[in-house]
Amino acid sequence: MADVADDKNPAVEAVELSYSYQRPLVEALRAVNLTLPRGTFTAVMGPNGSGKSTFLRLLLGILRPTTGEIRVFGESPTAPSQRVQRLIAYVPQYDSINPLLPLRSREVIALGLSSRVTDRPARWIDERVSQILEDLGLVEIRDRQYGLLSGGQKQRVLLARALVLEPELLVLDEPFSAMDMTSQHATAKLLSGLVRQKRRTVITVVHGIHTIVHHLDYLVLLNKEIVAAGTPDAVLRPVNLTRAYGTDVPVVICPEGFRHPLVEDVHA
Amino acid sequence: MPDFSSYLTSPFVLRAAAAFLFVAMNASLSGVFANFRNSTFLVSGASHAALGGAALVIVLESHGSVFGVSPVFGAAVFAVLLSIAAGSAHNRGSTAGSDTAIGVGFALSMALAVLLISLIPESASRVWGLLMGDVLLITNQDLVLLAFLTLCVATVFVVFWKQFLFVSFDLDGARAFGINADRFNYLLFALIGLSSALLVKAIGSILVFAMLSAPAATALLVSDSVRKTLWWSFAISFAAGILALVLSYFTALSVSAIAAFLVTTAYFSVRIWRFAFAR
Ligand SMILES: Nc1ncnc2c1ncn2[C@@H]1O[C@H](COP(=O)(O)OP(=O)(O)O)[C@@H](O)[C@H]1O
Ligand SMILES: [Mg+2]
Repeated sequence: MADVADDKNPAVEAVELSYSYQRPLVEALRAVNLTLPRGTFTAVMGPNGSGKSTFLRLLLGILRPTTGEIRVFGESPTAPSQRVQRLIAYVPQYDSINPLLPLRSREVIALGLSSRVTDRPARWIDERVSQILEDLGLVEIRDRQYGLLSGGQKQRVLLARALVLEPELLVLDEPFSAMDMTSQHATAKLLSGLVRQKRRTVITVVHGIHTIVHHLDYLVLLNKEIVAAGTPDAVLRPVNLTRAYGTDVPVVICPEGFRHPLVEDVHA
Repeated sequence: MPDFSSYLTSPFVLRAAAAFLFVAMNASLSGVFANFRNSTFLVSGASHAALGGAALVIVLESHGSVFGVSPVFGAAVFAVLLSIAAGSAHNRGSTAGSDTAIGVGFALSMALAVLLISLIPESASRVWGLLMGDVLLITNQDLVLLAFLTLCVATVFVVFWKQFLFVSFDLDGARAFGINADRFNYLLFALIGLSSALLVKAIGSILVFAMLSAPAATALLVSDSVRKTLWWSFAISFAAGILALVLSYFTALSVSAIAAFLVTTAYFSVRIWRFAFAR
């Protein structure tokens, strides 16, 4: 069996990966081939319903491939040992969460940490939670109800819940969508720091790409199939964007020389 | 009519008070989670499905096919089956499918109950008793069963507290954090169904919805933490039960009906108070 700690295995490897939901029958992903090395920062982009969240669910082991294979650090994420699952942390779309439970921010984070780490006393959990709240500047909202926070605050609490696990692989689903500009940039820098300084692997689904395009190693353009994958510069070409979004997406080049597709404006 | 103090200390009233204690425990666990999951309709569906199950046992018994089986058993089986059907829709992430499953199960069980009653009219009064309930007629045996099953429900809640919170809060997240979310979802829904069935004997199918969901719904309005929600839910439910026993002495109205009236009034009062004064 492949060793999780073996550096030769890529972080993520998808081979002819396909997934269809059964009820109702929806083909969400078709024959995806993709290899993402360790210590890289990747974004996945595509129109609504293009299978981005499904791809993340497959690599988290929440779904099993219909056909094909996905391996994370060389192992199947659905393996019963949960060995790779323990190396991954997940930031779900903030609106996928039930706001009816009056959990406080710190309880949300502690719930995640104590589900993963079962051999530590409650005090240790509390200390780690306090630390991450401080690191992310969330001390003010530690005792506020999660359901009553703003969208951006919710996203930062979910980010804290994932970061406190110190994961090898961090998987995020539209983590910036409700954040203000300042938080978006701070978060992009933080993720980039994880990759550059600690050699963690980060994969994030994004809708708008402006805030992170400067930090990325790879960009995957998805529309059920992979439309294009590679460096942002190679992928962000009008021909690819048109194929992915089914309409012309203007691309501007910023003063630093990065390509920016104006996807949000097309959607609006 | 006995004087008030001997009424309060009569075995009927003491048993009823004890029953309300267990009702309140169910309200603060299953009731609260039914509200968290936006599945209070399940409580209503399960308590009526329970009626069908109980009627089946009663009729089989009068027919001589089974002997010594408590109707609560049939009630529990039907309610739990319905809850699991509802839970399966939740695991696929669709609350709409869940409501349909509950509605169909609800209708099916009620149809069964009515059919059985008309087939065997001798048992009709026992089945009607379960529909309306009379907490003052609860027997020691009923009470022991209620206590035992309530403690079972409470124990499962305590053991899997964290998992239940996590799957209710964030289903996909719980899965990604290594929790077998499907299994805990089914278990949670089964507990809600079981609680609904348990209360049928004490307060009657029609009023289970009020006593199990309304206190928790009210508690959620006034609480800013999970713990406070549990305590408020318990307190509202238990206080309503005791107050209903007292008021029943003076009005000669059904205890369950008064209790249900009190908890629903509490709910609407808080809503109106909020609407009028809170921002
Ligand atoms: N649980 C589900 N059951 C059935 N179809 C689903 C389910 N979840 C998503 N889908 C469908 O699968 C497709 C891909 O969904 P998703 O991966 O969520 O897209 P994205 O995240 O790119 O918006 C969509 O057509 C969506 O409607
Ligand atoms: Mg999505």
